Amino acid sequence: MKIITDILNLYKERFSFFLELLIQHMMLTLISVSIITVIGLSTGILMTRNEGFAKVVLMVTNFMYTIPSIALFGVLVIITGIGNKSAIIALVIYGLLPVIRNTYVGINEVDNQIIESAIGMGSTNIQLLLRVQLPLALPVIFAGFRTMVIMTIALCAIASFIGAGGLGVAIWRGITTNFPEMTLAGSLLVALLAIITDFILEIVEKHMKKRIWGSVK
Amino acid sequence: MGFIEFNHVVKSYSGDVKVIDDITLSIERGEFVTIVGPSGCGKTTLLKMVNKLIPISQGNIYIDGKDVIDWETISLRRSIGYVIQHIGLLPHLNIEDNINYVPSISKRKSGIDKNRAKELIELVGLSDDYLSRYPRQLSGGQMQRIGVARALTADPEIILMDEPFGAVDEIARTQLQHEIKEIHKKLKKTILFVTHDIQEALKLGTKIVLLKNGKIEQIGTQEELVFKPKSEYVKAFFGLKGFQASLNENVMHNVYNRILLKQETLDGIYRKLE
Repeated sequence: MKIITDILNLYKERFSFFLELLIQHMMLTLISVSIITVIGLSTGILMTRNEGFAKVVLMVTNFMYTIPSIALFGVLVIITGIGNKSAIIALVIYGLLPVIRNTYVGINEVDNQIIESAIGMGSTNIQLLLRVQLPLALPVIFAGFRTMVIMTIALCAIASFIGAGGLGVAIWRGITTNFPEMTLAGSLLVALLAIITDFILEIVEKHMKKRIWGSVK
Repeated sequence: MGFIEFNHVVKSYSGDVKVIDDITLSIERGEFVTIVGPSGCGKTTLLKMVNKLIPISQGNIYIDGKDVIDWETISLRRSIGYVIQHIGLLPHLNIEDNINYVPSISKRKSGIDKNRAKELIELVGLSDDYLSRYPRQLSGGQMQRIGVARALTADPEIILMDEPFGAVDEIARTQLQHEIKEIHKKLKKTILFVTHDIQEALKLGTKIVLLKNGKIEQIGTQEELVFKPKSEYVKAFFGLKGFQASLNENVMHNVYNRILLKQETLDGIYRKLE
């Protein structure tokens, strides 16, 4: 029980310190998530237009996913130095896979009959994409997005190992100065941030499925 | 020259397999042409070449005197109504937006007439309460009616229908057949209707095309195909079913009623016929 009160006291004493780390963490996540969404969506869409490209992209992203995050951070330090830049690059590389894959799969899985009738009625390629394929694939794409956001929040905690900001700073400081309350205080906030974000995204996802598919599958 | 003209049309895949083999066919404005044949005879392929969903290998198709090759694909498709078996209603749009899909993708935004959807939904026999509903809330037969309404929105001259009533139950199908016939009489559209149902083909078509292995086996009216078959194949294909479809329904009803009222027996009628 003592540790809990210790952590709570820590939050009280170092409130502005934790608040700053939390904001940094959210900013890093937000920037990464935005970049991932733009690159992931457009790559996923391009993949549905070109099977060969799709195969190559899936191979590359699958491969990158197998690299341990610590190793990737290490390599990036050599190339892009320490700090937020390297952290964001690493977060983007990890986050791309679920978004790319779900965009690709989501669009490809839209019922062929619906696509055919939309083409038969005279939709242009862009209209087909924007008015039929993307809206119908949206719940699947969003599921990938949700996975990616939570993953990025968690992974972002490791990013401070290479000098980036965020709640990882507290965790890292706790480990190096043998101050377990500090480590736990940082970890708890990361977990809390992830849980609350996931909860909000879950509500959005349910709402979306209901509107587009008519049921929460 | 007919309104829709197939001129030695061939569709082949990988060189030698001919799905459509030298089809020449002339369709006049306002005709209701049913295309019938066993599965794999190429009837759907033939239909999809009209709105360029499937490219033609050899020969030409002319619509209103102009080769489909020269028609701009998108505007050609927008000017042709298209109904398929699985309907293909857009599940994320309500019925009104589904009916208005073609005007909504066309450039002229002013083209969306608020009363049009209401008018059409009533034409296909549903009340306008349905306009705000979603496709998933409708039965198969109702969705197919919406499919027909949607094909009519842009007021096309030509409507292509690919086994549109294949997936609905028999009662709904009979009703839909009756209604499409009425709509055709009222609006005088040129309809190309693919089906594998012999009775449906005979009942609906003002001209019936029987396909076999990508070739036209016989073209003609119901009477010609049933009573003047050009080959053993045609005779066997239509057979007794074709004969049944060409019987006068009113007369048959009378006979049936007389038997029900015990004014006659079935044996008695057979004896008279012999």
